[in-house]
Amino acid sequence: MAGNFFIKGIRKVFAEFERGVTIYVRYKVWLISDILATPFWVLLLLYGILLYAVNYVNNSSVITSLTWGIFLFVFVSNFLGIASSLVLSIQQGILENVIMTNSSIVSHLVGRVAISLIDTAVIGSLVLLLNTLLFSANIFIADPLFFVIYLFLAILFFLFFAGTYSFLIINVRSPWVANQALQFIIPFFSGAIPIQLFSKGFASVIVYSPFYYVIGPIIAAATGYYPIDRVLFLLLDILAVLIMGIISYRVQKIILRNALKKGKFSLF
Amino acid sequence: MRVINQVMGIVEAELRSLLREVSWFIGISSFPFLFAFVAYALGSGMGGRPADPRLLFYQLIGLAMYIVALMMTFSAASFVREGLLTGRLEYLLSSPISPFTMIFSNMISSSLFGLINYIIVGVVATIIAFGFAGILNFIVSLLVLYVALIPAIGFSLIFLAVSIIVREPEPIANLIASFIAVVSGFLYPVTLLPYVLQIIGRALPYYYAVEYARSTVQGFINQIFTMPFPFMFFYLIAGYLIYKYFERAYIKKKGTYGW
Repeated sequence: MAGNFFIKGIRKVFAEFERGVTIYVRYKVWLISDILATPFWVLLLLYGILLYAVNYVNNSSVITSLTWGIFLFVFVSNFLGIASSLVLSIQQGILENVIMTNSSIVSHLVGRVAISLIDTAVIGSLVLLLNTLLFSANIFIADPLFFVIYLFLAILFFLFFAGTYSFLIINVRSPWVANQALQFIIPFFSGAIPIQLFSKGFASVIVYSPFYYVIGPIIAAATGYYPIDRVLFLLLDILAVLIMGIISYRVQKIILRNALKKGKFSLF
Repeated sequence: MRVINQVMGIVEAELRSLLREVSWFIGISSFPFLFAFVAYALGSGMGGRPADPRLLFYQLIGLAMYIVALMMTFSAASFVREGLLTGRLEYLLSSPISPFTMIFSNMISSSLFGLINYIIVGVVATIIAFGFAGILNFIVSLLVLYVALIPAIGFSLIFLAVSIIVREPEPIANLIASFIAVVSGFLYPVTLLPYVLQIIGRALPYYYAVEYARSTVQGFINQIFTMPFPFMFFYLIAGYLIYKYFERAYIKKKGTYGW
């Protein structure tokens, strides 16, 4: 019985994953355009930040840290896109059909996760490669095992986060405005740029961001500089994912209740 | 007179349509503030003390300018693309109006929105860096900016010509927009760039527009006369000729835009 339930669950996830990949490969021109444009956006972002610290332009260690920051920016931007995809699903009436198949809303987002993963892998790798070639960034992962674990936890966290956040922006006519704000604020004020690069006062503010315990560990594992013990970081990361998972589950319940009562997918 | 009425009619319709999307405008206007303030905070955090507000001004003005430049460069192509998708273009083409008038009117309405955005961002940036005393210079910079951006209309026409033969102009626009952003000095001085990119940047009109606007606000209006700007009008002529060729070869022969 449990095995059957598990297999059904896996099939749903794979079906959503296949849907995501199919949609993604349909837009080949966009993929090529993104790949070609990435070097320029990377240069813009990097020089845009370095305007305030021109003396760091030739500092390989700072450039390496900023490169990881841009990698995390790409990651968070792509995963925030999941929220917009859910809004689109609701507007197109797809979500109602998904719910009728007794699938969860979060499982429906797995298709978009596939797109975010491919985008992050392609564009993120390009960012790392380019900064190595153009700025002599010294890219290597100091703690590969923990890097993979932290990255996996971050994927889960942002899946739950996007599932929750999408219902907050459903009534907004242009959800991309909110996404645009968050894609800058979340990564850069939550440890995407290693906190050791900042003054003590600024760094002590960053650790109050709940996102720091999801983004910070990835950077720490990549650079090898752990502001706190890596196991404690792992535990805090798992806790953050669990809390986000519970919030997401509760919000989903409320949304479904609202949908059945009022016929609309919204918290308000 | 008839052409003026046509221009007025399209500009009014486009402005009404843009006014319906207030959140879109807020999103566009908020982008310079978002990026510049995030970079300023990070810069201050890295330096351990508040960074120079003139750097914040530098980036705010540059980003507001970037938006104006993008609107002027790609508005005509997106107007045509949207018209194709919604079927509106066929009605317009069947009416007694020249395609060029149509596109020119669209550029006016888009640049008006860009101007409003530039004023909002620019006033804040000027007050932060130079206080209220800088406002007069900022007002002069509006005029300087628009004169300096006239050659960008040539780019808009070239891009429109490209979008006549390419089915999906948006991915190309994405690529061009990223390139323009890097080489034109919107966010940082081009001298930070590798030499080849500096040369390309100085060959494009956007670099001069942003430098002129910044110099004027900073009170160095005399500096703009030292830059070799007039050759930029070559883009305007080239753009017009290229567009006219594509208009004749595709629109007038086949009756519509696109393949």
